[in-house]
Formats: sequence, structure tokens, C-alpha cells
Amino acid sequence: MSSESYEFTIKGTIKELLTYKSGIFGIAFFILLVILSFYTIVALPYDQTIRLWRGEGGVWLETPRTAQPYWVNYFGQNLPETIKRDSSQSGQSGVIKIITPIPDTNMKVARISFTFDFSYDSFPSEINIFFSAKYNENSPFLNIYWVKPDGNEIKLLTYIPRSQNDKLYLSINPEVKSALNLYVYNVLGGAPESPLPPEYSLFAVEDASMNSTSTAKPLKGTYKLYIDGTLFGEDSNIDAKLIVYGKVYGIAGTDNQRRDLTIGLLWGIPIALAFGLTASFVITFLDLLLATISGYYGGKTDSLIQRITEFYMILPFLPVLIMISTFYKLDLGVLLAVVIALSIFGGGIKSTRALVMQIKEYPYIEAAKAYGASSKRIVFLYIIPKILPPIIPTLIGAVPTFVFLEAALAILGLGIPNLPSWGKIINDSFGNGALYKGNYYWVLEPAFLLIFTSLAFSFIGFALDKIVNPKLREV
Amino acid sequence: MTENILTCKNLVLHYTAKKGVVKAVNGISISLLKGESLALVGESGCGKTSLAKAIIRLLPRNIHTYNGEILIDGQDTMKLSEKQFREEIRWKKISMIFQGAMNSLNPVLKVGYQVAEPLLIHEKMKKNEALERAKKALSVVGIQESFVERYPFELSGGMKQRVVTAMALITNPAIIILDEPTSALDVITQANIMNLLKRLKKERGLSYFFITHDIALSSELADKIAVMYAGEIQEIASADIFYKKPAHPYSKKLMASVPTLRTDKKPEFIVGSPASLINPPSGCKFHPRCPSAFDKCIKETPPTFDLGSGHLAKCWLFEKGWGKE
Repeated sequence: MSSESYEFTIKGTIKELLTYKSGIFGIAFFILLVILSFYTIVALPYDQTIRLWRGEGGVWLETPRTAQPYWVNYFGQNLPETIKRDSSQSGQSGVIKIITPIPDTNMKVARISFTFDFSYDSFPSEINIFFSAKYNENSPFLNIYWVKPDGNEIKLLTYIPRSQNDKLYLSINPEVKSALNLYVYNVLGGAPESPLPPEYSLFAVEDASMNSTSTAKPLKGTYKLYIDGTLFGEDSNIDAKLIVYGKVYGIAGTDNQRRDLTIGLLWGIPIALAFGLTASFVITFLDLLLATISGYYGGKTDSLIQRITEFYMILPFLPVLIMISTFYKLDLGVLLAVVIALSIFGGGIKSTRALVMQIKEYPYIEAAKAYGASSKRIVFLYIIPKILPPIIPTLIGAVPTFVFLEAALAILGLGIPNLPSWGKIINDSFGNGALYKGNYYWVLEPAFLLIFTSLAFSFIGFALDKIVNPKLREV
Repeated sequence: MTENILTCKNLVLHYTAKKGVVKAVNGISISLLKGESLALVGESGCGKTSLAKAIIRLLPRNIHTYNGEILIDGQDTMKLSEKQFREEIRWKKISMIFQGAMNSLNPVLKVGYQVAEPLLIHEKMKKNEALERAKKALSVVGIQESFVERYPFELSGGMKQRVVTAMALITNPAIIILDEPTSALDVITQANIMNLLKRLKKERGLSYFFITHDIALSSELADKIAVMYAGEIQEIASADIFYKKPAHPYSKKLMASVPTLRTDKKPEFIVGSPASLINPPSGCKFHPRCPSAFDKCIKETPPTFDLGSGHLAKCWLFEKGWGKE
């Protein structure tokens, strides 16, 4: 008994789905997406994500800008990772911090030295030092030196922090720049063809290749940066954090605002699923309901619904949406509501209505009327279940349409403003010339996820289609 | 046995069609006693099903005229609103088995729930309770209780017929309209269903309003035969009288058209085609095809003549008491 009617239960449908390859792939992809969604929501709570994505409190100061994902290194590249040395953390290798008070004065001599190995084929993207100094009246007086693996020492600058937590951007500091330009001038015996940025001059092999950025090669070995300083005051202290920004970061890389793309890509999954599934389900079912009411009741109800449908069919979707977005603040709910409101009276109503008008003349409907079933009962228990099976694959197949719609709207700047979504990431990359600058990962990652999601639903849709339309089955 | 459970007086049901008004039921008066079964016979398209639908008020949209008087169990149903009629009469007092049982089951409902539907609708019963009743009703019509979990497509035609019968019986109505209940079944299944209907009638004292175009089959079940032609009842007689000595020329022709098994008689046919319901012939509707028609038949519509002992015929031949014993 149960085996004969199993294909009508959810369990039975899934069982049957799994007999098709596309069904297996589809369900596997879908389950993966659902697991990732739950992981994302649990691991990266909504509020935290919004704060992170806005970059509140300088959370992204220590990540490199537009860094590629780290796994590009597995494809024959050797791009630098970010190197951090922090003197406030005792016990870190490569960090030495000595502070000795000068007798009979309230001054102290400080020496902080950072050493690190650099063995990459490319230059770092940036170098910063973050200070946290403790002083009463006079700021500490610091000299900063750079020692290359070959022993050459460069005095970068003399630096006086202007606040307790000052940041020294070595890569753009003019004093550092002129010191390094002078150094390069001395090495080459003349000015280089093109001026070298500080991170090049600091890491380059000291020969003729230093002439331009295109020929310069990084020198591998152990580098050292040390800070000699004088502190003023009994309880004065200083700590420094050196960050040599790499060119790779995390699984997904970073964007131009140093944000880890993983967060955006992960949050894109629940958003895409929620948007696609909700829109598809709500629109399909409302469509179905309206079409059934229209077809079954006929008369004025039918005319009204049909005229509204025709009106909606000529309504241009995008301009209306743009108009709404200029008047109202869009968020996920509003965007969904607008998309649903603009889509329920779709062309689907026409075809479903035609089906309903055929079914309502079937003898079993007349029989139901005879034994007293109300119109409502007939609509919900007799007609809708009858036309539902062929609509389910369409429904599943329509999910990618809405996932893409959300992305397309985001690319057009009509996205959900506060939350990261795939469309928004593509929009950001577009706005920052990612493809022009060669940051392909920035575009390809969200694009891949969009395709993956769409594949999941399309595969399930194909398999379901074969189940409800046996004519499509391969023999 | 003498109480009228269903009475129609001057029942009229006309449809609007593109070509004109279809006079499907044209002033029909008929009555059904408690525990009696009435067979309504006639050719296709003579308005048999329309009469049944007029009684149970299952009307299409294109109604032109619908009036007359219908008394079901003493209640004048023409005065009831659609809602009252649905709640108080249908399936409570009168139920119907439709032409083509295979199509009158909801394909997406399991048989048990389908049979329980009238209970859920009319008696607001709980699902489990109704399902139990449905199981009993199914066993009454000879279907295993385990079949409640099956879908209609998993049943044979005869089984579906039984299911439909169980559904008609489940609310214990007094009258059942059977609209060609066996037309799509093979002869053996037909016999089984007829036996079932007979048994149920005996056990429950049901009244049947049995619509068929098969006179031979009607003899199985009917206590009384009504012959319908062009929206009018031409003759009503008890089965005993009718099969021995039909009075109306149309009835005679119908009887003559039934093939016999052992005699060498050729079945006859009626010349011409059934009368149009849109432009019916003048006078007696049957006169263009009637072998014994005379002038008066063409000009005037005959009234119903009483031939005694409840035998009624609508034919000018009986005006002066011709053909009376």
C-alpha cells in the first residue's frame, strides 16, 4: 500500500528525486547552501555583520586592501601574506622591546625591534606602524630604522607621535618617501626611471633592477625594523605594532575597503535563499490562488482579476521599482514586498486560469457541488491540488530568477543598503574597476555563488519536472 | 409505502443557448413513493439528466427558466435559498450518483477522505470519526476497509462505482438519484452493482430515482417506469403493466427496439431523429415519428390521460378511452 502511493508524499518525492542525477546534484547543492546559511546566521549574527560591513571602529585596519584569496598561491603564485609584529604582546617571536630608564633623569631609552622573514615573489601592498604611547607632557622622540637581509640599514625618519594612539603610514609618509628616494638614488647612482613606492624600495634587491617598478624584485631573507626612542616621564611607555600588508587574505580576499569578502559572500547565501524562495513561493501561490478564483468564479470577479493582470502586464517593472526606491528606504522586507506586489498579477495567471476553467467542468467538481461542498472547499481541496503538481517544478525553477533579480537590482543600486549581498559585492567591484585593475576574484566569487545557487534549484526543478511530466523521462 | 417522498409539479427547466431556448424539462409532474424506485427512461438528449439536476438543483450558469414545485419529504425546496438547500437537502435527504463514476471522484483525495467528504461538510464531523464511518460505508458496498488509503486511480471502474455509492449513502438520505450508474461498466460489473443497489434498497428502504436509457436494465430495479421524450413525461406505469403492455406509441417503439435473446425477432428502430429541444414540434412532440399520429396530434398538445391504477399516458389515442382494458 505505502509503496504504491509513496510518490505522493514528500519523502516519496525526495526518494524519487534521488533516482535522477540532476536530482542528486540539486539536493546536494541545496543542502550545502542551507547548511552554510545556518552556519552564517549562527557564526556571524546580523547586528555584528552590519557593524563589520560598515567597518565601524576601524575593524579592518589590519587587513590588506583588495587582497586576493590566499588559495591563489596554490596555483603557482607566491604572493605575500600579511605579517604582524606587536610589541605589546610579550613572547611573540621576532619582537624585542627594551626600556631602560636613564639614571638621574625622568627619561627612558626605548628600543623596539621587529624581525621577520620575507620569502615571497611579490612586494607587500602597504606598511603601517600603529603606536600606543603613554606619556604625560612630551611625546616620545623616536628614530625608525630599516635593516635589509643584506645588512644595509636605512634611517627612515624621526617621528614624534602626536597622540597616544598614532598611526604611521610608512607607505605614504612624505618623510619616509624622501629618505627612501635618496637611498635609491645612492644605490643606483642616479634617479630611477620611475619613482619607486616605499614598499618597493624597502624590499627590492639592490641592483639595476631597482630602476623601475616593473623590474624590481623583492629580496628574500630576514628583515628588521627597529625603533630607538627617548621617552619622557616616570611612567611613560611605548608599544608599536608593525603590519606588513600582504596581497592575499582569507578564503575570499578583501575589497577596496579592506573588508573580508567571506562575510559578504556568506551573508549573501541566506539573503539569496530567503529572497528567491520567498518571492518564488509567495508569487507562485498567490498567482495560483488568483487564477483559480478568477477561473472558478468567473463573471465580474474574473473580469476584474483579468483586467488588473493586463494592467500589470504593461506596467514597466524597473522604472516603478526605481520610483519606489527613491521615495522609500528599501530593506529586504520592502524590496520583497515590492517585487511580490509587482509580480503577482503576472502572465502565469492567464495560463493557470485556462487550466482552471477546464477543470471546473469535470464531473468530480459537479459531484462535489452536489454533495454540498462550498466554493471555497472546491477551490482549495479540489482544484488547487489538481493543478499544483505541474506548478511545483516551475516554482522551484523560478527561484534562480528571483535570486538573479535581487543581484541585478543590487547592481543597479536598488539593493538592500545595509546588508552585504552578492549583487552588492558585484556592484562594489564594478564601482571600483575591479576588472580593469585585474581583481577578477572580486567579481567571480559572487558570480560563482549566484550560478551555484541557480544550478541547485534548476537541477531540482529539472528532476521534479521529469517526475510530474513522465513524458520527459529518458527511456 | 403510500407516502410521497418526492413530488414534482409542473417542473420547468429551460437553458439559454446561442440558437435559442433549450426546453430540457418542460412542465414535468412526477412523484416517488417512499421505498419505491422509479426508472426514468428515454433517448439521449431528452432531458433525463436535466430533470435530475433540476430536482437536486445543480444548475448550470445559462438558466433561462427554472420554476415549478418540488416537494422533498414534504418540504418545498423551491422556497429554500441556495445555502439552505445545500445544507439541508443535498445529501441529507437526497443524494446523487453521477453518470460516469470514474470521473466523479476527486483524483487528489484518498478514497476514504472522499467518502467522508459529505460527513465533513454536512455534519462537521472530526476527520478520524468521519474516516471510521467511511470505512463502514465502504464495507457496506463491498470494498475492503484498507482501501481508504488508496487514490481513485488505483481502483477499477466497478470499485469506483461502489465508492461513489458509498459516498451517496453515507449521510443516510431517503432518496438517491442514480444517473446512468452503470453506463460505463461491463455487464458482469453492471449486474454486481445492480445487485448491490437492490440489496441496499431492501436493507435501508431507499427510494431510487433511476435514470437510464437501457430499458432492459431498468426492469431489474424499477417499481415504476417513466418514459421521457423531448422534455416531457410521455407515460408512467408500474413496471408490471409497462413491460407487458406499454400504452404510448413511443413506449411501444422503445420496447420493440430491445433485442431479445431467444426469439427470432429483429429489433425495431424509430424512424427520424429525436425532437429538437430548441424548436420542438407542434402538438404532440412525438408526432413526426409516431406511426399512429393523426391530425389532432399535430395541432394540439395532448394532456395526460389516466388509464387507471396509476397508469398515465400523454397521447390523444386515449382521449376517448381507447386502448383501455
